[in-house]
Amino acid sequence: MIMGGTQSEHKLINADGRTRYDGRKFDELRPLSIQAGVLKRADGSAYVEWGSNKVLAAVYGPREVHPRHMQNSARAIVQARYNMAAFSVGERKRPGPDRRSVEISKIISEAFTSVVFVEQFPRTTVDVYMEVLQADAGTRCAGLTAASVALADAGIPMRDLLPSVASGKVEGVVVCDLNKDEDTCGEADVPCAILPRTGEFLLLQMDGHLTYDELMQAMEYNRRACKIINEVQKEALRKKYSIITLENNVMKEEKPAEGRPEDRDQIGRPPESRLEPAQQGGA
Amino acid sequence: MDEDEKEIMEDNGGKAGEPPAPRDRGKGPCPPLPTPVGPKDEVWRGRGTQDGSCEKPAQPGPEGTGGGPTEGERPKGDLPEGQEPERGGEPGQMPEGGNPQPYREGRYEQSRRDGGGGGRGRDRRDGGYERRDGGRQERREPGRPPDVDRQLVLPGDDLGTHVRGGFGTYKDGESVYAACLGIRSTRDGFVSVIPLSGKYIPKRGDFVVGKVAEMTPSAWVIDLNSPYVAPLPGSETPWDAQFGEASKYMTVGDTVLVEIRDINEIGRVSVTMMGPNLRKLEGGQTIDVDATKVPRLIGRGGSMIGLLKRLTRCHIIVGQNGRIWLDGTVEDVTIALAAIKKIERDAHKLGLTDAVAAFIEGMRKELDEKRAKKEAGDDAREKNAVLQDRAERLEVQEEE
Amino acid sequence: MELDVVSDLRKDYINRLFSERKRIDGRTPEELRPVAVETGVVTSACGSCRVKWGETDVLVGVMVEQGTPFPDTPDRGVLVTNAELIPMASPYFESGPPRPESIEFARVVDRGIREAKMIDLAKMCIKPKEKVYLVYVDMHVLDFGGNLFDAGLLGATMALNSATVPAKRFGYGEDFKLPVEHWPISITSVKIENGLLVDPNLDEERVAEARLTVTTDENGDVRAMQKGLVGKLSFEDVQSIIKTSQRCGAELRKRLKLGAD
Repeated sequence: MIMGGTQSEHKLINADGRTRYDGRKFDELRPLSIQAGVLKRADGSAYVEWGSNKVLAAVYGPREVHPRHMQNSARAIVQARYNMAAFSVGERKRPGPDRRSVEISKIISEAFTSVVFVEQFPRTTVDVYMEVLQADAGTRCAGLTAASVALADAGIPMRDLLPSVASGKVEGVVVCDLNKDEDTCGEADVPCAILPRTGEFLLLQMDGHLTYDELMQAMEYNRRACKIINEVQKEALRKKYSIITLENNVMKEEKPAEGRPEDRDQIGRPPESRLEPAQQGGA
Repeated sequence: MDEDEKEIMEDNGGKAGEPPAPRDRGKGPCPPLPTPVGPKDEVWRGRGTQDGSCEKPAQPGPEGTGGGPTEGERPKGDLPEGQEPERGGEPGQMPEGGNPQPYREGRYEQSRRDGGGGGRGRDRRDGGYERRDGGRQERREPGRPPDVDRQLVLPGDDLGTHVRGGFGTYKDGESVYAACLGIRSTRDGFVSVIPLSGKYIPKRGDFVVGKVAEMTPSAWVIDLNSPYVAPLPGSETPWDAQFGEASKYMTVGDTVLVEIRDINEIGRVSVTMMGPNLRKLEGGQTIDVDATKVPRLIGRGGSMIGLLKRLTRCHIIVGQNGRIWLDGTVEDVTIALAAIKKIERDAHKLGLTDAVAAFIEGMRKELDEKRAKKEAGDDAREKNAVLQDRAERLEVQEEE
Repeated sequence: MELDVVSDLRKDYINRLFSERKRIDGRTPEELRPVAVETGVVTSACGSCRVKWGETDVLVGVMVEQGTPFPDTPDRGVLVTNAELIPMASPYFESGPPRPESIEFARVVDRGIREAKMIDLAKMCIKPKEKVYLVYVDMHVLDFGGNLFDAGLLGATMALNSATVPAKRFGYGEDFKLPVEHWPISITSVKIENGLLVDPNLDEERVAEARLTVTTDENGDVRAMQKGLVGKLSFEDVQSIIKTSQRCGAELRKRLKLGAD
């Protein structure tokens, strides 16, 4: 959900009654891509581009809880923190958590507490961070989706990867995966997170106005979309962790995500981008 | 006045943090519901436990206790002088049963093999601390390779129905699913998942390289490169440390080699320094790697670590917790650190042992060349200096 | 509890390496880490730049809003620089109000931009005493691998250099490129027991006794400096560090074609 609504200048559902103004069909997702393991310091991380959303997620843990009194002697606590960068929305957002971010952080923490095998790590915390770098509606869904991949990347045991999406209603039509205009000007928004294998809801919100049938349809769109998103999550992890297979006997080198400069293998032979200092005279 | 101390008057109408403007709740024609897809694939399957709590993962059989790097030749009794307590790992490819293991024993349902019984050693609760070699021997005949599927699995992946789930898995109904990202491995009728990343969770009997993080009146608090720290009380050291004098023996920042005595249900860890070769480690360097890579770093029967020690000429101790201590000349340590990082990075590749040997050789050659060049340069500079000096003296002589 | 205790072993090792003119990551004491930049990465911002400097990763976004000017400068625009050391960037960053480290980071970068007169704020006035442009520079640290100052300022400089003022949105005519006249770059060095190292990585920063950040402009003139940490710097140290900053700054500028007109 984006703050500060304005009426869009055009119709959101096309005249043909089958497509939306961005060309998508009613049940179609926006383009989605996920990369796993994009940060060095975090235990696990993932980067999602979804429509025009750009969201980065990172996981630390399990690790010690500070302050101590917050620890749970029977299990790990999961602390998710959703945050939007100042430059992520049309008008600069004052840095720091606002009430909306606090609420979103809470419900995402709860979703993951259910998925992660928290009893395995008493007295620890699993910290999940989601930063929205560029926003285009459905940021909490993008954040959650990325965070699931980051959790797996960190080796945290879970029941399943957790995909998330928001369907809604726009100009009377129930559609899947709202973009910014659709979210701002539409009639309803139903974000959710569904466990792929069992179809159980670990996050579910709704705001707007829907009849029972419309709501069921939105949830059906969500269910189907989550299955697709789940495949993208899995693919991102497989890509990072691809293993050499015996038949090939060829070392398939997976390029590091985002083309980070590789560690140097040998002293004295820097990668191309390195600056060479002046040879003589020194500083 | 500083810019950022002044109030900034912004001219935007909608401030961040306020709820969005109420939407137009228009009514429109509602398209018909889509027909359900396929048989009820989203029907909630019954779960093992009634209260909906997480199904505890079944435990694997005796050896490899889900996660100990599978015990190859483990030294029994006292170690000969200068030898570190090491663990053999599995052959070249993916390490079997990598430490860490998130699933702590003792709390959960233990599925036992026929005659498997006390093979683990850990469940002998006779109190006090268990020797590592108590019943952790490999059960299979040496030489027979394990059935390793080597398939990458992700959390939630179906590993089969009516199979026995081992380490890194969980059960729901009749099926076993992967609980973490890792390599699927079938052995002795158990399907388990060897994790490819994750924190080190202390396990009884592990030898770990720790660092003193804090000192309390009664103990040194040891950081184990784990979410859990462990107190090391004076009674578990060979020293007679009086209150207030403890820092004489060991202080914050020191490196130690200790053994995990126990870890209980709430994650409280106890360690000891009483044991052969356990001690404070003086000098040298430490480096932390992913604990899941430790078996690879050690290699089958210690092959990789042996190679490293030989070629780098360093003294190296690999802790089960992924923390490695090494000592040697500056050049040797530099090479060893680079080699260790390479092993961590390329743990999944074939032929790693040869690659590492080649890598170290390459580095040595390069350093030798650099040194030769430097010496030649030094020689040249020295020659120039001598010539310069001579020229100056000649000049002076001429003037006189 | 700080679990990552910097032991004397690490400090020793770094110093021993230095006596052979080597560093942990294989560089010489005068060498910068590899630097990669990409502008225009966030389209919701007026200008943006992502800098990967060694293992440090910083995303800088520039936002231009309109507002009322400060009473003492009624006909000049406003520049605000902010830094977020978000918890995902390091196990030691915590959520919460800005810590002194993040405030110092923001202010040092701000000083570099302001003292280099990178933006002529007089050109950012819409209507004197009533309306001016507010230029916000927000630095978001994504991955902390040591030496934030240099990565942050580089990102800010490049983001500002590629920023567009969205005048149309406010109804003040066509959008125009943010007018930039100078291009500050900072280079930070640290002092360890045995000598000086330029562009410290995480380990080197942790064992350093003192730190000096020197910001230069495209002519090599010094625009800002900041000493950090509790140790002492001799006059020779300071001279040496300034020269290094000038040299490395010039090379970086050349490579990135900053202000190359």
